Amino acid sequence: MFTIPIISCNDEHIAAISAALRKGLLPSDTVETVPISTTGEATDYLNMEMPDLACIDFSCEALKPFDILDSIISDPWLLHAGIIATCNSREGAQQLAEMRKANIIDVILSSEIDEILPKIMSIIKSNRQILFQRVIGMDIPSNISAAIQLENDLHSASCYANLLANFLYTTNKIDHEGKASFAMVMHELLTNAIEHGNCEISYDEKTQLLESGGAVQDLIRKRCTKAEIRDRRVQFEYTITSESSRFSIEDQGMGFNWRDIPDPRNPENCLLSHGRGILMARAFTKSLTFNDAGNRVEFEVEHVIPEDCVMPGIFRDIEPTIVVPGDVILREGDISDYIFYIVNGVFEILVAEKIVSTLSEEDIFLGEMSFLLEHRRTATVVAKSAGRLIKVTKREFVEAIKKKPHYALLLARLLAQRIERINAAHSAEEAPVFPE
Amino acid sequence: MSDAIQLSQTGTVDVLNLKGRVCAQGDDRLSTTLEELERMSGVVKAIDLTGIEFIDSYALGQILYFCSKNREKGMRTVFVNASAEEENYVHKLIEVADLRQVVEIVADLNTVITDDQESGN
Repeated sequence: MFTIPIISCNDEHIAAISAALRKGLLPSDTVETVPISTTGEATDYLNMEMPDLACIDFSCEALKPFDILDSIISDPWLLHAGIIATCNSREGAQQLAEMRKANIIDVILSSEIDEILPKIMSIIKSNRQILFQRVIGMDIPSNISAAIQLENDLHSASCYANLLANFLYTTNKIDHEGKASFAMVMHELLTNAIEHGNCEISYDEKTQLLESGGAVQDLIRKRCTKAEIRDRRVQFEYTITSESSRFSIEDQGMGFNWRDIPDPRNPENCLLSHGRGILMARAFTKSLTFNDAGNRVEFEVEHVIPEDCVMPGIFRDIEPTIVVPGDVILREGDISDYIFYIVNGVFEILVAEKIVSTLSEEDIFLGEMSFLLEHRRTATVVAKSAGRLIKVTKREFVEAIKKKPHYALLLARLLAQRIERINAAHSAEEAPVFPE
Repeated sequence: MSDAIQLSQTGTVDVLNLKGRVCAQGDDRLSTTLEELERMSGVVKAIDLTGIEFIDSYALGQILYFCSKNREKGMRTVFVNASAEEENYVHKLIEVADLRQVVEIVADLNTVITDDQESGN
């Protein structure tokens, strides 16, 4: 089930969004929309409920939508929701473009809601696994794979590019610059597959179109009036692991001779109006390869953990402690008046000198149980790898929660999820350890 | 969609400022703005790329086509990129596409304006 807040001060707009969202889903899909009409309510809802998706009406000035967006991007660690932005004019979209760190999936003009939003919802639904919230994301399997078929629609290509770029960024797999580069590469390659592959728009046709100031989408629409072109699809597949992400894009066109593309860096080609897409894609990815026919391209993106995303905003002023393998972090029986936030590293949990568990950055905290229950430490923790930890005292933690109360909710959710995991692990054999 | 495109004029320098995601596929706003820039009276055309998050090859092609036409008229075109960081997207793009060989690139729009004033325009 989707629960989607629609943040707008205009009731008609809320009704239009709500109807269009449903159009993109099957009747069996349940969608609950939550109308929100004030800035305070919106900020509270986003912080407390941490929805996967939010629709924000940027044409509603009374709502101060940019203040809402500012509060979302002020703490990248909590940058969870994918945002569908709507506005009345292209000028309104200008300001949105400057919100470079916002997790915007798409910007839709109010006049296009009925046409575009159902398509976006359909894409989101079929890729819901990559919209999971950050904390819930800890439970997703380490490898995520999907195979999707795209119609010949540039808007869908752009939506996929944004959705995947946002996912890789919010799950700490790429940094901000990497996000921009990745979105560009996806956009270029999916567009190529639609334009040059399925729709068979030639180099010369594109040159002519570009020099006459025409829009490619219009030419694509024209080509798609022929059934044999309209029925072609772009097969798009991805596998995301903890180290890297691999993508493949295959069209159903005739292919092309990728070996003969003029090098746009040669002086005689440097001012040519196009032919740079593949060069740009190659430069911003690892091991981009075409098949012989030239209708399938594969590439890999190496993950680089961004510093600004790995630390919650409330702990960013505390200097991390660097640990090396073998360091004893916590000792069984010690007083527990602090916790550790795990920036990175792998840590073994020992009870009576036996390893009972291993924790890493995906577990977020070390020592939170005894910290919250004010018990002495119930286990010893030893660094298995090099890593960095942020030591947070009880006072610092309380001060942080005073400033940003939603972190308390986050911690509660984290603990609930751990209990759920433990119960799930035991459920096959015996009754839950922590009955609800 | 091309999200942030603005034209302005300082002295005899016409400035096209681009911000955010500049995708010209399916959107003719960049091409119409470039036509408008061409019609403006300034003798120097500056295209400020500093605020770009990313630009698609179609939009880059339109800009380079504009540069090519401007060059044929004997006019000066400059790209402005205030970031020298190697990881910066625009910086990388300039290096990857080897744009320095065809377009003058400056770090600060004010230097273009000052140059132009000093040359007596």
